[in-house]
Amino acid sequence: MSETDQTTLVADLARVRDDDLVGEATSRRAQQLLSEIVAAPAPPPPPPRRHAAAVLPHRVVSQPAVSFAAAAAVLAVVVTTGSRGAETASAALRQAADVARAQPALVPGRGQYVYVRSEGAAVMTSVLAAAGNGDRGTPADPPKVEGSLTQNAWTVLVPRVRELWWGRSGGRLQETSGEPAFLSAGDRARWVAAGRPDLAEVARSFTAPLPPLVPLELSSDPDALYAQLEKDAAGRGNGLSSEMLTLVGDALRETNATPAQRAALYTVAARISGVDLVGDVTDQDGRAGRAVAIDDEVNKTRLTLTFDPETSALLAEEQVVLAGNAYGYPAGTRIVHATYAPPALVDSPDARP
Amino acid sequence: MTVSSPVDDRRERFTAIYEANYHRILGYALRRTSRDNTADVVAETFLVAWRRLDDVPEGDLARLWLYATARRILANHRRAEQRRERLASAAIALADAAAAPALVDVEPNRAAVAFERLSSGERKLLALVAWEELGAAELATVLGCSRGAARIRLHRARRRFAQELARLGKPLKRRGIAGHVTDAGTPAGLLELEDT
Repeated sequence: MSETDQTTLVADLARVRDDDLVGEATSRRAQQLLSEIVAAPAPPPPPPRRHAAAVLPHRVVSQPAVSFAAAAAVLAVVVTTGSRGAETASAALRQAADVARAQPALVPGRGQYVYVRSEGAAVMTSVLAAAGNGDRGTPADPPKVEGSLTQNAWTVLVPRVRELWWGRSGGRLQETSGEPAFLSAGDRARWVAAGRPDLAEVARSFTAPLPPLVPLELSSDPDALYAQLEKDAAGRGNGLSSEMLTLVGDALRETNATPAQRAALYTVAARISGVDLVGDVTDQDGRAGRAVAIDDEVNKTRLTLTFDPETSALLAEEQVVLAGNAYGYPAGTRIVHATYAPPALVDSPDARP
Repeated sequence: MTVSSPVDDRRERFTAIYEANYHRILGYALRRTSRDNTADVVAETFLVAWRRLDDVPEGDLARLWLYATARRILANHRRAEQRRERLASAAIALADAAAAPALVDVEPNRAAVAFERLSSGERKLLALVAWEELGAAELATVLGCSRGAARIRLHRARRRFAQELARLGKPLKRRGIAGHVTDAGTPAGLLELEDT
């Protein structure tokens, strides 16, 4: 049986055909509906650009004068008072999932590489192993230390540019660090007191080989993926929900997740409790995006992910500290931020789009 | 000189989209849900379009955008219905069973039975092609998947449909006026596609 015959058979099963309904738009019922809809409040004008404090210069500032969290809170009120007021983080993320599913997969051909570039900064905390013994300490991930980090440690924000070339038979990672900046005068004072250890230790630039590109081991079934990420997030000493959203972000950036996997990741994010819709924002590179955020009540930090609602691409992320954080920094101080360029195919592990 | 305001432009564009597609979305909903739900699905679909008019693409793509929106709304309705159904008591289920239409008098249409034997996903694909007359590329847009994936899924659905038809083996019998299957001649639930 031909495809046409088959299609005709199925077409015949329809209760009604569109041809039978032509002209229905002019019916009284349809015109009544049209009147009701266009009488509904018009959507709001485009949201204002982010508060100046939220669009900090890309390079590090030691002490933001205005809390980003406060700015974001104001922004959220502005955005969500429009006709999108009913929209929630969950709805925005489900929408992103739908968009992600429709995106073409970026698959490198023979001799091709997926080029991924990110630019941002992250904190590096150096802790003196034993005070007074002259040990210069080692870089450590920040909030894992018991008690206050203000006694024998100093923290710097290290700007980084990461470039990855992913290929079928391997690739290359190149990370270029910029000049570290102290997050506070106290950090600088403790560094001076420790004998001014070489900051280059925490801001090394390097290049490294990457293994061949293989499929990401993530389920594209949202239920299974949720269970997988929930299991992975448990027991890490961080808030479960915020850790799950962090894992979602990890899988969306610098990976070769398929459209189905990306859709599942956004669907999972939509189900994570405690995710707030920040609203429509402009990232540091001036790109329009939609942001969601979650607080980690354990570590007193807030993670914000910004994605492009048109493509579902992860555009940016940011982590700020909340009141009562282990660093002792003012609420809103940024400890991580990054922007991600859209991945592109290139023809060599040195080429850039 | 008359200068139209942005609000007027907006209404004009929405009205054009509405009038060009109302019957299509009405048909889409009628073919997939009860008449009671149809009005809600149509209204919600166009309300979303009005609120997100800037997101509605130009030209014929608007039709696909509306189908995709209607599909999501229908899926939400189904989930809500399923939740309600799960909460229903056994007594209600028994009452429903007693009230269900008797099918013994209905001679099954071979195509209808074969269609019913497909998975909901397969039925959904074939219906979009046959009822909404979508091509593979349009199918991909509405379903939110790649064109390649849409083609493969459609191919599988066609193959399964052909297998089920072959399994039934009897000559085809078309029913209804102008080739349409009437409600009475359709096995219960056949056209209630689970559009999730």
